Amino acid sequence: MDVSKDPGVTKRSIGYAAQETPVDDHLTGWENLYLQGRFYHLSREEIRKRGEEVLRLFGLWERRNDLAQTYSGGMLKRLDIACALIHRPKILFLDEPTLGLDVQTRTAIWDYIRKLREEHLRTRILQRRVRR
Amino acid sequence: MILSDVAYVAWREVVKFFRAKTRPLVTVIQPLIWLGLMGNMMQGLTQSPFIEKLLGTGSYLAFMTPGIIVMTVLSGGVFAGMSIVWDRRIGYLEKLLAAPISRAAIPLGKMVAAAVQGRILGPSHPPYRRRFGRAVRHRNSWGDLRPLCGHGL
Repeated sequence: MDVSKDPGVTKRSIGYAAQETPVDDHLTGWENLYLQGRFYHLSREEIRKRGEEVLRLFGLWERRNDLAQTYSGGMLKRLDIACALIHRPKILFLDEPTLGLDVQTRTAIWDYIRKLREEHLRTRILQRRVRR
Repeated sequence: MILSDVAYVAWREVVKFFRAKTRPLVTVIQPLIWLGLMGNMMQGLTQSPFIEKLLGTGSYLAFMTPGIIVMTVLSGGVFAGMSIVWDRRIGYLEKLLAAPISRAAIPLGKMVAAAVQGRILGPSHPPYRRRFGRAVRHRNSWGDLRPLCGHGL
């Protein structure tokens, strides 16, 4: 895999959840996920199937048709990680996935991430967190 | 592939634009206020033969309307530019750059979205035609302006 020769292949094999939680407030959770899937050139069917999978995994399936601006901070973070997972990346980059969240939500997100590692063995999780 | 990338970047903008409700409303109502109040207020100017010669028409509305239309379309373009800056601010642009979409598709998609908005809300909006159509047809500005508005950007 060579980034400079074929950035497309590299980009397709990594998932990235940024620190700022770049979720579009004015779109619903499902629309955010759908767009992300489209940007990774997945077919409609794939998005429907995997979208349901990741949203159920992160406990967001019931709220999928609500606007993202009605979500809580933890839900937004989960939605963002769900978006990063929709194309089944080989490597997942999480930049401070629990930044600014309360203790319960933080534990919940780490539980999800652990579950993710067990269920998708191909997925490798890299964490960047400084404990103080 | 680049076409679908452009389409989905544009889709996002258009969905957001029409969901916001206030923005389409303002883009429709503001020009109506300009034309209805300003246009009629300045009408008195054309009584002076010098001004009439300067404007090239006896109707101030006819003089003003093309400018208002272009302004409406243009402000759509400004919003498209601003949305890229905003995306950068909230980190969405970074997310787009990390995705395997063509980079050109990002600005192109925004332009397409602005053109769609300008086309729908600019000249072809029915209230303008009915209310101001006659004054404008008098100078036949519509015919000249239509292609310009279509390619708002």
